[in-house]
Amino acid sequence: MFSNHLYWNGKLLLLILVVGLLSSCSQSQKAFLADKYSDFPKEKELRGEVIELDTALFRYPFRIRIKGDKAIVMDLHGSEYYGHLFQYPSFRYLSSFGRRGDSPTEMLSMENFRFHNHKVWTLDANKSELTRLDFSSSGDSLLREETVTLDEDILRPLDFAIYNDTTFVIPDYSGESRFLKVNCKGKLIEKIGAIPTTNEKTLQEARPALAQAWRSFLDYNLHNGVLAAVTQLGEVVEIYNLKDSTHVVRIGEHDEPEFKVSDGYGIPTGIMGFSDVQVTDSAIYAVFHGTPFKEIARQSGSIPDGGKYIYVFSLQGEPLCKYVLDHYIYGIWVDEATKTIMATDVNSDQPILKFNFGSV
Amino acid sequence: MKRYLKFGIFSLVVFASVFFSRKAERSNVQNVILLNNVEALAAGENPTTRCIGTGSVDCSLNHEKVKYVFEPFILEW
Repeated sequence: MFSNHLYWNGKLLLLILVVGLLSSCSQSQKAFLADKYSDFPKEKELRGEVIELDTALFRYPFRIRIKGDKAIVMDLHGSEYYGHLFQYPSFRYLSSFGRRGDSPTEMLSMENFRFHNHKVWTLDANKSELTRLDFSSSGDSLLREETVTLDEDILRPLDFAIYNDTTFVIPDYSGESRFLKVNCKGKLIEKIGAIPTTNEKTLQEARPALAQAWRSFLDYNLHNGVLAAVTQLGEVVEIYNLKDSTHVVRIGEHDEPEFKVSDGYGIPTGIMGFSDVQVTDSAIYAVFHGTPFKEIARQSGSIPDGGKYIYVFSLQGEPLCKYVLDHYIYGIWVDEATKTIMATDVNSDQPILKFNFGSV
Repeated sequence: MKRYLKFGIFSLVVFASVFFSRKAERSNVQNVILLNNVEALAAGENPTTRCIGTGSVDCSLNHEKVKYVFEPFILEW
């Protein structure tokens, strides 16, 4: 009887220890296995063709997207409007949208825009709003139809992608996770992943500054379920396959974003990394700068703004090709069917460029 | 009976340590965020960071997009 008691006590003790160990481990940060890449199996020089525009509209043409016979170019520092609609491929100017201003129907900023089901969604980080615009019956202008105010829990949304008809993906600026899934009412419905840093001390002690330094641009392809994120500082490419829940982290020679913490903010100290990314049906294209901030500060204005490289990765994150460009660019739109890349150049009065890339 | 008491105390210690370690972890994160907020408020109108130029880097001070952010009082940058 006594030995039986001892036996059960021992079992219970073991159970308590196992439960205790498991519960204390469950909160620890995940260790990320990041694959380093240093070179690409293929490198090719591309020459850009300048598209002549008959109107001077832009201060800082940051994004370009094309759908059917319409092209939209977004001006990050637009003085009157943030978005401009063109006929494609002629690039005949049609109209502007997203008026800058303080009124409820105007925008304080535009971070990005997306085509979805013949509609256009825009993101205003300063108002924390997503706005849907529909094409007018003539197709020559965009009209504001719906505004979604994002939940107060969502800190400073600096980019977005459309996951499906009712859900958006937004980078998590708080640092608690990597991305947030938000429904069409602006409510947070799911947190995805974590910042894949190896700097666990900063992750614990200066998480908001770390999240600022890991500010990323993203793109999601609805057909293959691949969500790609590239860091504005450093050289980190993350690939989440939301269909099979796999996650790949690729880090280039410039490593993780470098920063220091000052006044609670993350101050960039390393290099300017990526500025745009697109996930096509077969590959991931990202614009890379690689310019040190030290150099940008020293030269103050004499270095062209933008990146001279487009990196191409497979959907599994394998480096495929590096394009070296003859212009410094910011935003891209890749059309694999015609093997063309449309790009924006913030340094020129003729800011639209066309590159032909043949096969990867 | 004494053995049961020992066993009970031991399990209580295990659960209490797990509970408090988790609580400390949570409050540590909250403290960091609170500290960052206090530091940002304390910086007030004379922040030690500066946002310069027109670019695409998000300036946390004024939510503008700038060319670069730096600390002017740090000579070696």
